[in-house]
Amino acid sequence: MSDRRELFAKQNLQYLKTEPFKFDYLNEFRKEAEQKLEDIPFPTKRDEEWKYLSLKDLAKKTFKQTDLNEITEDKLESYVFAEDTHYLVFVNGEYKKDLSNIGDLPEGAFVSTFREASEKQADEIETHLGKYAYPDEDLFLSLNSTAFNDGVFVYVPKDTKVEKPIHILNFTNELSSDTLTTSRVLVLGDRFSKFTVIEDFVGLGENSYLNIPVSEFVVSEGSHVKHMRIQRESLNAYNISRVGSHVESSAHYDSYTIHLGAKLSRSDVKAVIDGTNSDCTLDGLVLLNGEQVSDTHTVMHHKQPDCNSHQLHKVIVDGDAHSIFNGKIWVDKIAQKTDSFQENRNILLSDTGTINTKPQLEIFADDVKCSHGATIGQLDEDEMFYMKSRGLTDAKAKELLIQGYAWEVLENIDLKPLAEELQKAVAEYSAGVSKALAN
Amino acid sequence: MLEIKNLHASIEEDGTPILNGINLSIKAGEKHAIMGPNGGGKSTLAKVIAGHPAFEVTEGEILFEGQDILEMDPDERAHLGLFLAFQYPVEVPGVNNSTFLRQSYNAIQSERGGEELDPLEFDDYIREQLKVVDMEESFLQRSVNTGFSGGEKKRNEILQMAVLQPKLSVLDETDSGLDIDALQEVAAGINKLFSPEKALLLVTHYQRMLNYVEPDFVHVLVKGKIVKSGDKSLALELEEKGYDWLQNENVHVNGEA
Repeated sequence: MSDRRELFAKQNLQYLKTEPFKFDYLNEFRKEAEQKLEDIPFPTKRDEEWKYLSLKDLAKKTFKQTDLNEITEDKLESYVFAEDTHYLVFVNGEYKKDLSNIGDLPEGAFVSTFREASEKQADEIETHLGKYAYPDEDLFLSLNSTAFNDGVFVYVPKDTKVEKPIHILNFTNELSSDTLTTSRVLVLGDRFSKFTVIEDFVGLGENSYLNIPVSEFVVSEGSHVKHMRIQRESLNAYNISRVGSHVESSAHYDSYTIHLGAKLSRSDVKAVIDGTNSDCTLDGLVLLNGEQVSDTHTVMHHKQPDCNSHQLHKVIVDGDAHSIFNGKIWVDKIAQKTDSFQENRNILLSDTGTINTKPQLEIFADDVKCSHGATIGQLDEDEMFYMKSRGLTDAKAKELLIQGYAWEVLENIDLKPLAEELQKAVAEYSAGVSKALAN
Repeated sequence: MLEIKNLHASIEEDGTPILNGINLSIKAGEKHAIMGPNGGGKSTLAKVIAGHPAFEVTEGEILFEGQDILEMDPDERAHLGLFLAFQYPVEVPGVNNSTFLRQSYNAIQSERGGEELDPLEFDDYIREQLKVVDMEESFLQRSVNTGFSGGEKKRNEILQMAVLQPKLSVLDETDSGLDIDALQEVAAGINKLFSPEKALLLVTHYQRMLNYVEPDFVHVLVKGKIVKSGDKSLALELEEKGYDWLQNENVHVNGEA
């Protein structure tokens, strides 16, 4: 291991400007994380959790924060759905109040940045921040906790439904390269609440940068929380994210993660089901081409009996791209009658792409139903034949089938115009595939 | 229109022979039925005509309007005016039925040198075709075959046939899974779409479809060969006697009409 890697955190931190928060505990929180950071080595392929993902390339780079956080309104047009959402716009991690519109929320509900939070809200942040995303020894989580400059706090009170999705847009603009962004989100759904949060990561240029977002969700008893994450970063960007969700009794937590962009993306999603009769979904869609690498690690931890969980991770790999999936299901001894489903479906379109898939089941209860499966294949021959027998060319048939494949995940997006935008992006991806075929 | 000469075909993967020397000639204006026991090769014949890659033709030829089509891809065959209604239509989630049909229609039109339609023009066109199969307009906005009932899927196949206007339609077990009402409606659609310059090949296990779409010729396919040909009365005879009496019959009746 080179010294350069050992220095990664240090090198990067010296360029970060972390303005003090008005709430002292946030400053303390950062300081504590920074102290731990010293002891955390840079991950290598010798670490089990990073076995298939090389960060060599990343280790060589140094990132910084920038002042060039401008964005023109016309750029937002196809990303913001003003009528249909409560939305917040961040550019390179800086909150753009004038471009955001949180709008009217039901009584008692609030959506606020950490910096604009009231004392009362700050108390809630203090209670929950940092409690659900772990392990502490994760370098990028610790880096986020050391360097986050702001964040979004969402609270929905008991028996309350927020009709429109809360859309958090994290833009990285094209004005400077090698920027580092540390997005942070904390969401509290109180008992029997119902709402949707969409985290959106958008790269506006082709530049290289690093985003290390962390989100934490508390899904209280009886609540229904939907969580979408859309990663459409620049094709030269790195996105290394972590989600920690805490799910209580009779609650529904549905998480959908869609990876379309980035040169390298790593997504760690951990859901802890700590109540009975709950339902939890961690689904994903990953479309890769060229030299892209994407690594998803999920953990579904059943700590209580009578819960269902569902993980469908769909991947398409073309070109020299590389997809990694590692899905863990933990079932504690007392978590009887757990019904857990996990499937990783991969379509490999090229001879030069790589797919690694690894289900991991740790089951300590004896009366459970746990299924898992992983497939790697081509597009279905019968489906191709069907399309072609209707006069469509090989390329066009592939295009449509890829769109259909993606739709199974995209259709879960409540925000219809966003689902349509993403379907367009999928169409572009599939057109790229068929164009490559023609050449 | 279609000439099949001494056609032998086997499963690509393991070489199992399925078709063992089929001869069949279909002229414009004719309706032919292929009947036979399960496993006799009926569906394979339909798929081989349409160009399914799971089967390899090892001997013989298929001529469509005098042109050898064996080397052609399924889409090229469709461009010539060949159509296969599937026994098990494929579900394509996320692809809107109307968009799919328009792309198919335009692909075939452009190959034939016909006029392509934009979405608005196509909308008018397809509404007319919906009437042929008595389908609701809501069908158009649904994903192709996704969540359709068995009957809806079969009807959707006939809608595609109406839209694409093929010269030769091969209908593979279109009657299976349909109740009497649905069968009559689908058959009425098939009859409406027929004209003297077109031809039909109905592949079916049962005679009941043939009550509504009356064939000019009936062929019995057993163990990959046509063992008997006749007119529609043969279908009634099969309905009564079953297929057993033909299974061991060693006669080879040439399928040429």
